[in-house]
Amino acid sequence: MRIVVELVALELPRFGPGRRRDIRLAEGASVADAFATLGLEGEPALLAMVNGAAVPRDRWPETPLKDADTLSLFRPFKGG
Amino acid sequence: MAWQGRLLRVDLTAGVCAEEPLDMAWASEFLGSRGLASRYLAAEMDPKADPLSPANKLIFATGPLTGTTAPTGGRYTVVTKGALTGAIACSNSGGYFGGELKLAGWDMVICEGRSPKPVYLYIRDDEAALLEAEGFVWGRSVWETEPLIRARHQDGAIKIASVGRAGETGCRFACVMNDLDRAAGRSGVGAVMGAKNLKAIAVRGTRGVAVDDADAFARAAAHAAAALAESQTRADLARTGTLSMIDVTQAFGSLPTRNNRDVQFEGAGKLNPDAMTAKRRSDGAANLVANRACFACTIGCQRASRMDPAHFAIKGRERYRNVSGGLEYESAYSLGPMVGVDDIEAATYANFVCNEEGMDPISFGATVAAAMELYEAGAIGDAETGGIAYQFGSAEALVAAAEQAGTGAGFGGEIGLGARLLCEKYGHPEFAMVAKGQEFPGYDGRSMQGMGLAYATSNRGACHLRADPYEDDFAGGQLEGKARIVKESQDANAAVDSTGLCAFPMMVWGIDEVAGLVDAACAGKWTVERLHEVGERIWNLERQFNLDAGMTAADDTLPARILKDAAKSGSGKGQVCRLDEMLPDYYALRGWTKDGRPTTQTRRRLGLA
Repeated sequence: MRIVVELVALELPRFGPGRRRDIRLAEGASVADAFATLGLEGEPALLAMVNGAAVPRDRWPETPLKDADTLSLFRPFKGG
Repeated sequence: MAWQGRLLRVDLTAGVCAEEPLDMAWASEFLGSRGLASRYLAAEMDPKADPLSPANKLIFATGPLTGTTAPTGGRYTVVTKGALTGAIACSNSGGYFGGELKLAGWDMVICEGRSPKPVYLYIRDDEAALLEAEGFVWGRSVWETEPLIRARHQDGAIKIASVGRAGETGCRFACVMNDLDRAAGRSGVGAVMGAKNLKAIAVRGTRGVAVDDADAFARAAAHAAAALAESQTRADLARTGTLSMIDVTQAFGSLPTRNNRDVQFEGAGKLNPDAMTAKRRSDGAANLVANRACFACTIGCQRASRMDPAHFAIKGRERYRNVSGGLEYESAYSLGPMVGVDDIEAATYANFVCNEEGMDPISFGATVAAAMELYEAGAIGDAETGGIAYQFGSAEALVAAAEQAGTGAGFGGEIGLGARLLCEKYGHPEFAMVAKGQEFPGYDGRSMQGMGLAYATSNRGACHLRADPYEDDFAGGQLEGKARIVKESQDANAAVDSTGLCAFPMMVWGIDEVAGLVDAACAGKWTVERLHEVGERIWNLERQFNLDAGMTAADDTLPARILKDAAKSGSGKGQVCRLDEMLPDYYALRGWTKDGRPTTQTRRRLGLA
């Protein structure tokens, strides 16, 4: 399956150029698998949404993705 | 050391300035700035007093790290009873004024009474005097006041905190401004200053600040600076400022839009960092000119902007063609999505006017949004607004509202009431997006439950800086953990606010970094545990002030829109803020009764009984 990964207000050198790319994953892959495929497992303080819904970090391994999902990665500031 | 050990008491009624020793016993319990000034305020004034009366006090306070080389150690606070809220107010500002006041040898300035005529306070190291402002800077904007005072005293290095015409004319959300575009912004501290007929404090300091252990302090400051230097967060803040949050809250569905009726704004992409750096067709330049930093800051999150010279808002207004403080997340939210406006130049103009006349752009924008809803509902019409169509999305209305509110002219005087009083006056209190009378910052409490609890329990009214539920909220954390996160971060932030440091390094540092700096700078053993205890003590002192002012647990609430109307979209779609489920846990963790009062045991434990 293919999913869309987008960076929200974020620049990550390990992500490569741009803020949006498609990646191919095995059927049944999880959010954690997507991070591994992107090489972002150790990236600090990243947060994730799938199709606009927040996914807590401790649920990344058990949260499945499906074809055409959008995985959004972000690292918010505090305050403003 | 690190404290200067003395304060300046200014009796405005009598026109007398006098030096006093700082109460070092209180300093050991409340540290400085927010905490120590709140201690003085609570001890010296009747919490029930009218905030605009001479009985209110207005305290400008530095922290022990203000004026040192600790990274970001340039902050000061203005502590008073808030004109907007009737609650204890503490507004924090950067720039260079705080550092200069400390370098002049003062930990704080307590202003009391009311001057019989407009004055400004001039401080040059040990010397302090009240000088006439009538016929000089009274009636002038902040942008006019600062250069006039420097010219009169023939000293370009003077730093100035002042009120604009908003503060003079009683705008309830008037700020104290310093360094042209830095603000002690929230809760109407500028309205209190204006009501005292105090136009400005001008200060020049050459004395320096001594620390307790110079070698240890140099090591701690270098360590703290290195941590920031290596941080991607610091680099991101320098690159985009806080403005990039608009993409996050838009994606997450927590961006208050059209007076919180929506939580996502279709025009957010026209107000984000990409929009700020895009070259304009008219002049080939971008809105963003550069980033800037405050005293001792190694982050540089400030935006310096120049408006599109072809924009309708500045035709015939030459001074707005200059570079000034640009949009940050909060001002972009309140002058953009909250009023439904996607014109970054109009929002920048409104922000410039807020800076020039000394208005809090958060409260201003949220009040304009409330007025737009009143107009839409027919509760106000052209007769009230002077023919200005207060329609969501109208950049023209936003621009006109800023100009009128800044000087109290026309319907601007009504905008200057703030959302709560405005909406009550016109029969729709439910349109006011406020907690304890203070307008919401740029986070919606339905998709961010922890922020909802933080707004409701903030001692100064709705605030995005009193607690730190961000990561847990954005990570979809469970409701059960919110009360603890909010309570513990409220205490930690109260301690950090009392040091003289900025809140933003705390995105990188742990509080151990702060403890290391304070411990090296100040006599006594300053540990992480002690800072947490100081923070909790400050929080409870502030709470007690509000209770003594007449507030109750019923004030720990949010508008019905947030508690009863489900979010229409985003990650919180279908949700309301479940405040009633979080509050009992919060009170219990605080050691408060079920009706929100600190128990005797809690007060004794914190040395407040």
